[in-house]
Amino acid sequence: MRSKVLIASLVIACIICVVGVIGVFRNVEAGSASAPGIIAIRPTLANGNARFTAADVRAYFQAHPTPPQMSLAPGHTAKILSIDFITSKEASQRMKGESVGLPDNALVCYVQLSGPFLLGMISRPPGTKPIPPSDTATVVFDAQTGNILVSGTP
Amino acid sequence: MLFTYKRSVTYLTVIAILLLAIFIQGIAPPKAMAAPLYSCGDLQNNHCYAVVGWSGLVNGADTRIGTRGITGGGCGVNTEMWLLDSTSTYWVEAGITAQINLNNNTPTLFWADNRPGGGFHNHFSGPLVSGDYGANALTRITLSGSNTYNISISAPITNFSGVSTNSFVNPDGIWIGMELCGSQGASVPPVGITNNRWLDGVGGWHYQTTDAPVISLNSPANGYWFARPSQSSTGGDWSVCIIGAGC
Repeated sequence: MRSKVLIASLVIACIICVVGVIGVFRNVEAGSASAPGIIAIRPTLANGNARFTAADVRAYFQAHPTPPQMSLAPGHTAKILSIDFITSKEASQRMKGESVGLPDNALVCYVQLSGPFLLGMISRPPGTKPIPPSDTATVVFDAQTGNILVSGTP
Repeated sequence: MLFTYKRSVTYLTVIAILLLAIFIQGIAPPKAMAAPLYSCGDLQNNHCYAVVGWSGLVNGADTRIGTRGITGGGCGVNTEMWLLDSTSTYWVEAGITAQINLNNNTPTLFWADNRPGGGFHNHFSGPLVSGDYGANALTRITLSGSNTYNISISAPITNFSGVSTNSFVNPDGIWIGMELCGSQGASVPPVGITNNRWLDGVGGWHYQTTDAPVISLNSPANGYWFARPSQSSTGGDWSVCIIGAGC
């Protein structure tokens, strides 16, 4: 009986050893890529071209008053100027040709905010002039996932 | 008997626990320790850098940025490449970022541009997944036409691409390295930025063969040539890390 338990323990140890070696060399399959964009609005609608509403957008900015990487100029409060569910192509045109990253006919939620905003963590190359504060900012959400695809200033 | 039954089971149990610990460590994305306090400015100004750069008219550039468990702490950190115009006023950039309030400070692929008359805009992938780590992300920016750039960043599983239109002309600066902002919490284990190449006007790719001079180096952001382009056949290896948290 004891020898059977000993053999079983040896087998288990060998299995764990093999799996551990696999883990060390990262041969473990690691899933598929996440949807593009910054996780932001959790979809509230089960289906449809847009899976969240303008009210969801307002709720998001209630909790996150500024676009990613931006801060408000002191003494100011961010305001939503507009919330538009439009095509990716139209959103790109509104941003003077800035790419959205989705097919032209994909639906996005285009939000304009008033600040003024200071551009934070914008990965400015060293020695370049700071980008001046901007009165407005734009955030583009994927209308299906609620993720932020683009944020920026005019 | 030299080994009693009880002693054998005890030894095997210890070995099993050790191997389980190795397994868990093996599949987890590596994380460096948090950095001590530092002074790398606020969200806008006075960031810390470990950046080198080549100058000269090109049609594009690419590099491979190591995918490791970086964290941005209270502000953020990027490991990336910039392509700039001759005045260093406009640029396109691409790489890996980890920032507070961005995908839970998980490394994320990004690209951004600052265009003449077009403002500044950031673009983000989803967060890297565990299979992306321990490898590198091929990061490429190339000119298409006179003022349009194609951008692509390809990690083993997560890929991201975009187009910068109505952008600047005559790119003549290729900068690579790390940017750090904030005052605490960021960590970057040594990340190699390797296989540095530039694209000529007729579609030919060339490895960098000169040691790009330092553009900016501010502690705790640290960078060093792990392999100099002048002594490498594959464009060198500019390694970056944070002193006290990864270096």
